[in-house]
Amino acid sequence: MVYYIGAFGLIIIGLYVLMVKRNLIKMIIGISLINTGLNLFLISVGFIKLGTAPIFSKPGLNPKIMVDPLPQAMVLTAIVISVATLAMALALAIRLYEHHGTLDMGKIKDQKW
Amino acid sequence: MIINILLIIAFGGAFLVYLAGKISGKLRNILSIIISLVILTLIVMLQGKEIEVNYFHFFNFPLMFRINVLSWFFALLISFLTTLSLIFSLNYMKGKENLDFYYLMLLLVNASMLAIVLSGDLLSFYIFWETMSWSTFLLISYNKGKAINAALKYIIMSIAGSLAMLLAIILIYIKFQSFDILFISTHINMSSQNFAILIFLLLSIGFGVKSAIVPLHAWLPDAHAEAPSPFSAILSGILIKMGIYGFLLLFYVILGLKILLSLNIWGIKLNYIFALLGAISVLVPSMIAIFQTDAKRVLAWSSIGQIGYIAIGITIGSSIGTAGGLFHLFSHTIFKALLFFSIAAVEYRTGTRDLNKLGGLMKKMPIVFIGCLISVLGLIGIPLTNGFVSKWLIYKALFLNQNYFLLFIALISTWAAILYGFKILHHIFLGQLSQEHIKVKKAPLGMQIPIMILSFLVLLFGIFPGLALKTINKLIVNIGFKSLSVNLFGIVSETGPLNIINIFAGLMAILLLIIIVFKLGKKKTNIKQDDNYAAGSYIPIDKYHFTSNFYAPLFGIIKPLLIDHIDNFYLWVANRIRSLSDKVRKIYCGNVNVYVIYIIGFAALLIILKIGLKLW
Amino acid sequence: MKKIIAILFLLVLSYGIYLSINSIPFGVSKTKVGNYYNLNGVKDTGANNIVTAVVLNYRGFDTLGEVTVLFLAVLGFSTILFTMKKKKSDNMPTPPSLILSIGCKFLFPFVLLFGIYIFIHGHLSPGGGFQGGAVIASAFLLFYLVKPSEKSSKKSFQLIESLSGMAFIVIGILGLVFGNYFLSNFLPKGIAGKLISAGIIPLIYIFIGIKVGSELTGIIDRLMGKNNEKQVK
Repeated sequence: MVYYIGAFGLIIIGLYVLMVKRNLIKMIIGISLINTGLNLFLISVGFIKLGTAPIFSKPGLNPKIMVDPLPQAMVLTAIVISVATLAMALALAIRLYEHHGTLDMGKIKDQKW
Repeated sequence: MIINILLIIAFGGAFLVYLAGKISGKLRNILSIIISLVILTLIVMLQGKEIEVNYFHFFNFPLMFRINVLSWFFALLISFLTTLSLIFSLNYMKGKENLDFYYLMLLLVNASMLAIVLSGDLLSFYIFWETMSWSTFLLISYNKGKAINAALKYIIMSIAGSLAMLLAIILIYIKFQSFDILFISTHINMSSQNFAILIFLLLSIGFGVKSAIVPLHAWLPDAHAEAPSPFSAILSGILIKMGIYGFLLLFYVILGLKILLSLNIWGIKLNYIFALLGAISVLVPSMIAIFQTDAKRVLAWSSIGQIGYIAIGITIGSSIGTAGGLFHLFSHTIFKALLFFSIAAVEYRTGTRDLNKLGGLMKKMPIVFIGCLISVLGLIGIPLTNGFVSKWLIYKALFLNQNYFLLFIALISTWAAILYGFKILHHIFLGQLSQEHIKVKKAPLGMQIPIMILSFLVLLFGIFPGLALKTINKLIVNIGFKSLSVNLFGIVSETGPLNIINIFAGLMAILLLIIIVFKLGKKKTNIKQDDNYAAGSYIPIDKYHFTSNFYAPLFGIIKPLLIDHIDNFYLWVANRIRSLSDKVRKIYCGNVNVYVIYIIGFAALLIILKIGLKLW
Repeated sequence: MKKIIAILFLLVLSYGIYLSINSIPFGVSKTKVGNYYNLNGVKDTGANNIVTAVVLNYRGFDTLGEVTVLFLAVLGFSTILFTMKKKKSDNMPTPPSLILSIGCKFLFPFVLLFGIYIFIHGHLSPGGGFQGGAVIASAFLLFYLVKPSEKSSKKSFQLIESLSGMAFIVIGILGLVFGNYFLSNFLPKGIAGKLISAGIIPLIYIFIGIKVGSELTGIIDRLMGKNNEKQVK
């Protein structure tokens, strides 16, 4: 249960950052926090009490008490992709900084209509 | 089968002309004339036939074409006017851009109008109605610039109208499980009165937009003025009559005379309301037309007025009235096209259609002058022109129906027609010749031919109205009226026959009298424009051009009454919507924080709703 | 004001989340398909690591898609940064301290080796291509920390990345040729628990490892913000 609370705590903190902060880097951090929270939530959905990892590393492991491998497989790829998208977001932030000399979203006005 | 071939030629020919235009301009011009002539001959061949063709099964709906006297009458007018307009275009449009497109669209409008009058079920009627609207839209916007605004106005109103029409068609289908017009007309008695009223109102909006009956006329002046002139002639001559065709279809084919006369809301007869709207369309636009300075705008407002006459005629519900409405439709097609052609010829040679800048062109362009004179006489309704016959019939019908109020309005409007008709004639052809236009040449032969043909027709049907009245008589019998007894010179009836021979004799006597009086009187002297009191100093010609502000005293009196409130209302609605949308647009403020707040806020709202529902 | 609204909304949101996660049982197996994977994974695929089996066998096509997403993200990243104006920075980055440079030089081969180990043994032990790739990238990060001005060849990284990506697809198509469907496991499965077992799974994971490693290295390389001008000079 505590995992759920932790996961959603992360997500809500991330949302708060997105809603309140104007600095682009901070907003990207917020997105990253949401990402982490989601990953944590997915993993904790697959968790089984007293379960083992879904790897037959030694003989005699009971497959019935292994944790769910599906969320883990999902999260495995999700993490890598989140790294790449994070890099992309940062690249955009770099370009914006180059162009406007500021990271404050409130001050970047010429893209609005 | 012949209908199928006709429409295949009409639609396929349009695209063929477009392709031919890619090869050479001459080929395109010749091909377009040939195609329109072929269509015209085919339609003439179809005279008096009643054919029904199932051309396509769209899912379960059989789509069909059907020709009878009504559709034949309209088809003949359409193809005839398109042919003339094409001949006129050859010279008028020479050297302009995008000509392939122009000819394609012109022929497409022609083809879809033909398909409209020939279609025997509401579904294909609607489909071709839409093709007509869109191709008209593209043609009106042909000149770019201001024309695009005019075309947008047109298409927006047109879409609103056709949506109302679509709604009515769907309602009809739900009720009768069929789109077939004949089937509907035989089963309409089984439906309730309210249903008929609903259908009447919805379809009236659709047809009213196209025919520019007064509350729905706002698109017409702009569109007529901005469209290329040969197309203006089609627009005013026949396209707005498609709305009248729709009304005829609705009143006398779908509903039938009996139901039409019985429709009422709280005791007020709907057809009387409609006739009243027609009367307003006659009166106010005719007045407005007097004060326009753009020649085509005068004609545009005049078109609304003349449509009003037709609307009055066809809604009275008597044989003479309907015959008068149809005859006026026919004569309006001829003389309004003639007027547009004349103005276009003048515009082609002088490069302007501002009435205050023209003048004195009578000797420079005699043929055009005669054409314009005849058409203005027809517009006013002078005896021996076709306009006289149709107006006589309408007045007669109003008189017999004891609708003295409408009669009075129609008469007043005729005075307005005299004023603006004379204004056009005078400002362009009479008075002083402007210095810029001293070297103006005659109109080219390609323009003179349509003008001559149409002038001839105005007189022909004015002197021998029986030629057209026979067909119209058949037509009104076909849609359920009593037959009129028609002869070559008019109609014979107990309540006062129409006989052109007597009128001719009377007119000749009056003419003789006038000539004698003028011969006895003093001769007028012409004074050169530069021969005046200014002692040789420079005088700006525009300032002393006496044709400007022609009807100033009258203008002063009735101008406050002539504000086009309806157009202003539409513009007001448009502006409201625009400013509202501008405010709505502000939601997207460009700040990511706010967007996230929207998303979270919406989620929170949903959660609150969910919790609230659970508690409740 | 904004903060208050935000907190208010988030409170409502967290209450809603609380209501919904309250109904999710914690610590109990929930998905049937997860159970199936656990029970039959080894038999079906020959891989000891069920997660690997899921990633590369049961959902191999999915993984191909995710690799494509990764590729696209990196592509977008380098496209955005490619047109950036190069600033002439006169001040050289301060050289790293002795401890850092010696430690990193010492660690670099081991970290690299560890990464390779991780993705080669992806079907036997925790880990796999994605993780191994990340470890390899961190090795290069160490390398760049020591020598910020050093420039690895970008072209070769891109070539390696493209080739390994292509190899994934080629293996998939080979599966189409030898087996019945795209990405079918056409190689012999061998004995579960041995290094060479589980058919194409280790092969694909090696390629994924190389691909992810080179992509992430490329990202790091870009973000180090070295200017090409110096390199040319």
